Parts: sequence; C-alpha cells; structure tokens
Amino acid sequence: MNEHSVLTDDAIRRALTPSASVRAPMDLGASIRAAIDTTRQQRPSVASRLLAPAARPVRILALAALVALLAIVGLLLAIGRQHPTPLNLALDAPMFRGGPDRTNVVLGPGPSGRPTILWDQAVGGPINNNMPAIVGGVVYVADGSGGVSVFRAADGNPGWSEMLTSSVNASPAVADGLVIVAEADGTIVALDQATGTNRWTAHTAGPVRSSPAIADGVVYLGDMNGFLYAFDLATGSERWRPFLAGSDITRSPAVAGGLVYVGAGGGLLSAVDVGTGAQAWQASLGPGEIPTPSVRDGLVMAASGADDPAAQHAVFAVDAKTGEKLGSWPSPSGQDLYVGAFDKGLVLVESQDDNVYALNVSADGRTLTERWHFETGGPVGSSTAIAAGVAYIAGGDRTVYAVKEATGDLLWMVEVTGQPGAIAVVGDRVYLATDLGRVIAIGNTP
Amino acid sequence: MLNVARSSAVSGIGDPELLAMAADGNADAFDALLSGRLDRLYRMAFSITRSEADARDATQTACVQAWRELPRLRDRSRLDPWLSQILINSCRMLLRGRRRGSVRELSMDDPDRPLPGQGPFVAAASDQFGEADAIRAAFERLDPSTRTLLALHYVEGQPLAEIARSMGQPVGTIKWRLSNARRALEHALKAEQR
Repeated sequence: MNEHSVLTDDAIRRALTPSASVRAPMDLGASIRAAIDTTRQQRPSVASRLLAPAARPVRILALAALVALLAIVGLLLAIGRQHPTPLNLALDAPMFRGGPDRTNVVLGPGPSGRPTILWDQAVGGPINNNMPAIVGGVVYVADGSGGVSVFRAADGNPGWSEMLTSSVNASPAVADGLVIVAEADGTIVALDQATGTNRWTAHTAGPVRSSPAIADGVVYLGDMNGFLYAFDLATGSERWRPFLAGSDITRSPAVAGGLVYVGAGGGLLSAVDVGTGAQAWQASLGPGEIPTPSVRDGLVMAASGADDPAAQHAVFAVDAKTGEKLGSWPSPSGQDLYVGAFDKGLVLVESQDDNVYALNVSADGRTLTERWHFETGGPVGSSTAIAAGVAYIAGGDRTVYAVKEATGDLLWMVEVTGQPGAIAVVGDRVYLATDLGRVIAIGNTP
Repeated sequence: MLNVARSSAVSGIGDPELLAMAADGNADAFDALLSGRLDRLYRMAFSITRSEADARDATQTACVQAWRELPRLRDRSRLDPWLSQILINSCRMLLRGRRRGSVRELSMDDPDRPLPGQGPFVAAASDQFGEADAIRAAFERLDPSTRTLLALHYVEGQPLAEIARSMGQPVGTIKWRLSNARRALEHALKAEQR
C-alpha cells in the first residue's frame, strides 16, 4: 500500500464490500433444509410449560410455603452469625445483582469444597454481563436474540420459552408472579412467571440496556434517551412522568431507602424520590458513564469514567441522602472500574485491568483503601457476589473464581463456556450466563 | 428446496401467509421465505466473517435457529430485522469461538493470500498498490465486535440509529465505538504494513 495514502471511508467500503458475485452457495439451501427437517420448533405449548395449569395453584402454594419457611430459617441463621449481616436475606436472586439495592450480598452459603458444573444449557443468543434471575427453584434468562427461557434450577431441565421481537441486553427481574424483561428497542414486557404469557407491555422513548429494579410493586429502569421510568408492576402504567437524568442511561438503577439512584453519561449520579419522581439530588463524578451503583448503610458506591478512555476512573462513596461526595479511590491502572458486591465495610470493584479489588470502606465513607486484589486472566466486566464470607468473581478468562472475602485467597475455580456474566448465588449453588449463550449451574455433586 | 422455484404447495403465497405456515411447522413455507433472503444473509455474514466457510456456517446456524424460534416470534412484521439480528449474533459467536482456537494473521508475504484483484471482493482499478488487500488483512486482525460494527456501517450501510438499536447501545456510544473501530483498523493496517 502506498504509505502516503489515506484510509478514507470509500477505501474501507470498497475493500470490505463483497463483489456482486458473492452469493449463497448452491447447496446451502439444501443443507439448511436438511438441518431444519431434523430440528424441532420451540412452541409455547402447554406441554412445554414448566407448570401445568391444572397443577399450578397447588405448586405455587407449595413453593410459597417452602420459600417462606426457608426465609425464616435463613433469617434466624443470619441473626446468629458473626459475619457482617447481609442485606438481602432472601434465598432467591430475583433481579440483577440480587435485589434493588444492587449489593449482591446474599445468604448463600454457596458451594463448598471442589464444586463442578452441574448443568450447562444453551440459549439462542449471547448474554453479556447480565445475570439470570432465580426464584422458587426456577432460573429465568433473557438473551441477545430476544429469547426468554426458563430452566429448573435443580437439574437444568427447560420449561417455557418465549421469543421477543428485539434483542435483550439486560437481566430479567421477577416479582409477584411476573417476569419483567426490557427489550433493547425499548419495549418492556411482563410475562406470566408460570406460563410465559404476555401480561402487559410498556414502552420507553429510547433503547434500553438497563436491567429493571423492582421494589414495592414498582419497576424502575432507564433508557438511552436519558429518562428514568417507574412502571406499576401489576399493570405496566407509568407511576410518574419520566425523570430526565441529563444524559444516556446505559446501566441499571438501584433502589433503597425511598430513593432511586441512577447513573448516566457525563458522570451524573442522580437520586430520585420513589413516590414522585422528583430529583432529591444530583452529583457530578466527572466525564464518562456511571455504571450501576450499589447502596447500603447510607452510602452509594459508584464508579466514574466508564466507556471513556480519556476519563479519570475512580470509585466514589457518596452520601445516600445528600449526594455529598465523601471518599474516593482512583483506578491504579487508569482502566475502567465497576462497583460490584457491597458488604458492610467492604466493596468489591471489578476492573478492565484484569483485577478485582476489595476496598475497605470506613463507616463514614470518607476513607477507601485497598484490602486485597485478585488477578484473573482478562478484563473483569461482570458483577461479583458475596455469600457467607466468600467472594465470587466472573473472571475475564472464562473462569469463575471463589476467594475468601477477608483475604482474597483462592478457594476454587471453575472454567466455563464463554465469558461469564454477573454471578448469582442461591443456596449452595452459583448460577451464571455467558456471552456464548450458556446458562450454567455450579455446585457440589450429590 | 431453497434457491429453486417454490414448491407447488406454497407457490403464489405471500410472505405473511408463508410466515404463518412456517411458524406452524411447514418447512416448505420456510424454504420459500428464505429463498429470496438467503443471498442477502450470506453476503452479510461474509462481510463480517470474511470467510466463505464461516459465512456458510453462520448463515446455516442462523437459519436453523430462526426456524426453531419462529413460533415464538411475536411481531411478525419484523421478520427481516429479526433474521439479521440472529445472523449477527451467529457471526459474533462463531468468530469468538474461532479466536479461542488459532488466530491466523495474514501477512503480505502469505503464499495463500489472494493476489490483488482476486478473491470475492469488488475489484478497483485504482487499487494499484494493494490497498484493498491490506485493509482486508487488517480487518481480519480485529475482534468480532469491531468487525461487526465496521461491516454493518461500511458494507451494509446501516444508519447509526439502526446499529444502535440492534446492538442495544446509545447512538453516541456507537459513534464513539465506530470512531475507535476505525482507529483500530488504522493501527491494524500499520501493523499489516510492517
């Protein structure tokens, strides 16, 4: 190539455009036909439902009783333990990062010893950084092809599945018998938890990558036009006029203490009243996007500078009531940071520099110091989880790691098919989905 | 069978009816639906993967997935964007799988490399210095997401808003990523010339 030539749009177009002679091979149609002749279509038939309609009421009652019993036992166990008390005492993982506060600190207790992959199921599209929802022994996933699928948590057996009309780049959320899924084109659908039947549909003004948060019968999510929405969980109607966050909302909101916290482009972190949609405060954390924050003990932990190479990347502790910036911790490598699981006095921070950092957080939020860091084999972009003193890491090297929360010492690691997304710990198992469209359960073999 | 005249059972039937029949399990109707679309899908796959074998695999995988999922497609007026979305995912997953194995980086001295003007691309009389070949080789060095973005924009001619919608990202982010993708192509081009 002439060293003085310039890479123009036209040069790229000309170089990459196939010639008119490029056509599908003559036998490709026959190959496809042969393949589809042996491929069963996935029908939303009654037979494929996880719950037969006749047995549904009994099954739901039994599940509810079991969940209530387990929740009580879990509560008693949690009260008795010396380890910092987890915020999310439920034994389910109903939405992205465990619950609306996005702390992803759960009871677990997670696997022990040398766990392995218990089941590994394929879905129709990639699942990037997002998390399955696990409720009542059922795993719910939404994938990049627009498929919503359910699997029995015990053994991975598939239940109902539905195909939406747009891709999905967000985690599903499950509450009150509904599965809420945000399609990339801004269509929000509520599917019946038991059958997959569409219960309501709502729309946002812009595309959506934001995983819904559900709290007290309201669904919260943001769109890329910069609006934060509150939809009634039962009907899909808007609770209040959408709040304009100031720039693109590409990540998920957190809900705690009567406020919705949402990050946006331009480094804006906003707190909005759950009842009225009125802005309580807005803080500027510098250029770049603010990934999903995490809230507990009166502190909002948020990272700054995402997706902007020129920005200064840091983690901030912000007063949850006033928006005052308290302490901060700069990225040691200058690479993107994301706030992950947030336990009492400790927050996990994922980084594009391949590490997960555990930061000590003082009670007043003014001091953030590194306690340990754990290096994986690639950039870490998916959320961590904490359960019973163990931190779970979705490594950038297609590996799930379990390390001691206190020290970062490795307990076990399991390689998976594809880049793992956010980790869910429910009972004695870890559940995750990958960018190669796999849904995986890790645990101890019976 | 595809790429031949529609079977008598489905000849003369419009796309909406064919779609309903295909969703009901009629493979002939699905053949008929694909027959007018297969070249476009294959060319799109080829522009992303830059390999005839990979384009074939990605197209077949996408079509089989579309067949499997068709009964669950809610908005049947969006068949074509839905097919494109499945194909793009299929290409990206295939390329990512390839990257797990060996990554073959072509050099200008590669004996298997097509000579300038050869190969399944638009020949340009002005490409006297092998510029197009160098760009194509540089393109092959890029990661699957970057390749997809460049192919959708420069080859498919999709507007930024449409790419943003299908990739679930804001237009501003797509603009920024496209700018990065172009810069990555320039870097790869320089590496290719070393």
